[in-house]
Amino acid sequence: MSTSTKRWVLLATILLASLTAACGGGRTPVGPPIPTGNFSNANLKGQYAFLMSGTELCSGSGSPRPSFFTRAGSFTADGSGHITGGLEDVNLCSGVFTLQFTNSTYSITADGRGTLSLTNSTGTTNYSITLSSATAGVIAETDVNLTASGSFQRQNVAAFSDLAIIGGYVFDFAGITATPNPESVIGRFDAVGGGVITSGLFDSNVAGTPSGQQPFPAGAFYKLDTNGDGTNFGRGTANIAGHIFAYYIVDATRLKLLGTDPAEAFSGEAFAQQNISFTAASLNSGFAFLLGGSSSTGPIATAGRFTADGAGNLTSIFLDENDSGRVTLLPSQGGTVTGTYTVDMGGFGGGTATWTDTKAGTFFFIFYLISPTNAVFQEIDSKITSDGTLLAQTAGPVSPATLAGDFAFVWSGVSTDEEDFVGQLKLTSASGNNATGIMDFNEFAAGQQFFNIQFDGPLTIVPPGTGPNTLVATTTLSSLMPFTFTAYAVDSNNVFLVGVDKTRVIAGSVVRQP
Amino acid sequence: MQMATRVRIVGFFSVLLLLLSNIVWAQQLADRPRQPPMRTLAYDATQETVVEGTVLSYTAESATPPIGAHLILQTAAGAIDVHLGAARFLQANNFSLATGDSVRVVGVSSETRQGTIFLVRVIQKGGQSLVLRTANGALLSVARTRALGAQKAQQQEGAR
Repeated sequence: MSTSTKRWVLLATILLASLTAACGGGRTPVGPPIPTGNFSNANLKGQYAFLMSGTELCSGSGSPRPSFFTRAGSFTADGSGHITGGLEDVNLCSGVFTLQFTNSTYSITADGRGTLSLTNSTGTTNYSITLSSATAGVIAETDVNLTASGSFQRQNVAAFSDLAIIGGYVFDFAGITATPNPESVIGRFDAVGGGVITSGLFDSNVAGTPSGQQPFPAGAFYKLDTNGDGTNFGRGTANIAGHIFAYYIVDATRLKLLGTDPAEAFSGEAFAQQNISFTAASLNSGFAFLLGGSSSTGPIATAGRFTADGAGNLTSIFLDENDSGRVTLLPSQGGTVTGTYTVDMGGFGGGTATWTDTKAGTFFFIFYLISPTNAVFQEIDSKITSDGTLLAQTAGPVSPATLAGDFAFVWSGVSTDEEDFVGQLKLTSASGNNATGIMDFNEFAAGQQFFNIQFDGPLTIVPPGTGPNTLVATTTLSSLMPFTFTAYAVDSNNVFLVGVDKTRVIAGSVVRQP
Repeated sequence: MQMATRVRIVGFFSVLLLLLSNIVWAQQLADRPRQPPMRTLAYDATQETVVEGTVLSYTAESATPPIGAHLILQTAAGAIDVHLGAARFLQANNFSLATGDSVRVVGVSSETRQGTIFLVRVIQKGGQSLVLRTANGALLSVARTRALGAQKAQQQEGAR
């Protein structure tokens, strides 16, 4: 799920009551299993860039109220449980701050799960993490008045240079404008090295009103900090599509962006674009997608898949969209879906995808291709502001056997308020109760954090497995409603999940661990 | 290299970059789908109406979508289902609702397969008025309090 998927409301008081009551009821609560696997503190070693967004409790006049916030930064792990340094930018309702980490710690268990505590001059923030490898992982903040989720990747310090950032970059950022309305912006720009951006195109969507493709306003640039933060942490500042960002370099192919205008809050990422001239023929495979955002009625999450034929036609279109508890499935019952796509003239990789279900209507999307197998994706249907990712899908088949193994996951969504989950999922090749997992999560509305919560349930694969599959996860919190997901496998290593419950909007992804 | 020469070279490249940028930026922008027709429950501000009535029931967290607070409002034309967004947003603004309250709502009526839902932008009760949506129709409970502006928002106590 993109960083934009943080929003809003519901779930019955039953849930809150049950969360407060913690373990009880039908299932016998047991202690967490002893973690198994090959991870340890030694696997988190080096410098990592992170980005997350979520909800904070903000006070002003009147009662405290939730507010969107985002943080991005860099931390250095020594492989022995210590964070030896780091820096972050955080955009809160009280302002935008750049803070240095001191005397911080982390711990990784054998299954790749762990905790991270980052201390700065204002105190300590706490996180649960799961490593998908030694170079990447997912993260959720577990503080009382702050919940957030995102990811981190090991940084390549050799790329901490303006000259390293060169070529075409595709970006996707989202957040809240000063008005305040939700906004998603996707596009691409050319970096010529040395901090110069020579051209840029973007499509903005403010509160469900798309801008159409626009050129960058004047003033675009990127520049690594010259005060030491650039060379030490890979931090710089940039003007992209008219917004000012702090950015952290993961490597020459990836930047993490955090908006630094205190009147608004944006975050996202930019990815180096393959240097080819994109045409309709560039899209010639199956694709799976995952988006999140908001609609007129609240949070929205969407996942699905289609096949592009290289000539502008889309077939085998499936979609699951949860719009504030109203779930739309394509093809709809008794309906058929047909679709087309276009790739913009000029070869820059922008394009559109459109499909119509004979019962449910027409769905419109925009994309910018990072490569023929990867794109940023934005829904532009009326009054929907939602964005995410589009990935080439395996030809299949996908089966319980091909998916068997261990996965790191992060889910984010809204029930009564925002909730963020991070953990490990284990899949077996059995066809029945083949999924088990353990997770930590933060329920913002309840102000409660939960650790080592186990779940199990069936992942039901519908052959050939590249379409919608179902994962039902029932936790050891007996009165916590089971999570019902539609699962779209990208391949045997990556799966997109979108919740299809009426009282919760949630989405996320799972990534295979080694 | 002489300073003047260096300046000329930098100037040349600057002009070149500017030209390149203008070449690209001046290109024809790609067509995008026109604004699609409104889907069910999309907030179309041009269709706003004002409805007055008496609260028959208020549910902070409805089991019926859209998720969030709903009230059933008895109007002259009958009872209608009114969607308010996050109950927490109402609470944070000290706006309470109870059976028997007389309220006035400004919003858009939307037909769904499950019936009509009235999406509220402004709700008034007695002398109290609360804006629930931006003029664009986005729920403020989604957009949150980013634009507290002069209220000088502060983070709750704790680490940043």
